[in-house]
Amino acid sequence: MMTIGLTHYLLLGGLLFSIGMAIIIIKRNGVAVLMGLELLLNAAALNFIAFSHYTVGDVRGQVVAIFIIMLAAAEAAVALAIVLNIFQHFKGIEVDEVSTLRD
Amino acid sequence: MNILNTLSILAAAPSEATAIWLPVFFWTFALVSVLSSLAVLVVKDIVRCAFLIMSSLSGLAGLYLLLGAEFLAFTQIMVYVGGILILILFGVMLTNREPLLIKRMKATGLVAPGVLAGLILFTAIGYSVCTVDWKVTDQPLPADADTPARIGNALMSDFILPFEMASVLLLVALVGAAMAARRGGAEG
Repeated sequence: MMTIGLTHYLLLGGLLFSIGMAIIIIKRNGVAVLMGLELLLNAAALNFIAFSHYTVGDVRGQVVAIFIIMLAAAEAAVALAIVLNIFQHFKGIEVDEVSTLRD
Repeated sequence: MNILNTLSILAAAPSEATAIWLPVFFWTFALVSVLSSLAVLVVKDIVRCAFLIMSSLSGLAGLYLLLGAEFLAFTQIMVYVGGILILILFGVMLTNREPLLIKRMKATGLVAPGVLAGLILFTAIGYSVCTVDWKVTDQPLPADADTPARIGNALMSDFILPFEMASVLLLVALVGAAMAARRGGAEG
């Protein structure tokens, strides 16, 4: 098989990003939408690491990827708290039934 | 640990003998992550979705190893598989009324627009990736580069401001999440 280069990683990142996008649009369960969001963030991190390895030859991209992972953790905590509140209020977490922010 | 060391050294300095294995590992990890994230699209059971996402993120951790980022690979496994996945499973179980194993997500409504948006997005990204002439460096990090130490140095020098802001953000986010998740919400 051919040599693996930067383009392979960028295409893979793009593919995972598109799949995550499709998951966010297709799924109605709030928790599943969050999973699609995690996939988006990881595809971006993969791009940063690939660029760091292939075009910079440095660890700067890896540091940015660490910040992305940190953001994903904070985002997951806050989003799940919001999902719990939505569940208590609307008795379900189907995102298309949540149309108001309060009563 | 030995095989993991081998993986990252193999990626950073492919010799004649080891270069043949690099594509094998790349395609294995790439297939694992792409197939399991595609499966998330079609699987109806939310718990299975969670574990498929876990498999996809683990495949990405393997790719990080191939890119010579072993610190990030293990951070990925610890934070995602050990932390966020557990959080997601908690979310699943706290928001279920029926017994978990028979819980199915309701029929999905936006399949065609979702698939279409994904395809268009991938076409656009693929087109731009393939047309740009990326400037690949001729000096990649050496195989014995101590990336964790380099990352630590970068965090304490060039990235000190984002690092401190990240700590404040994490504190605020966790306190906010605890407040919001209390029964009755923020005013309760």
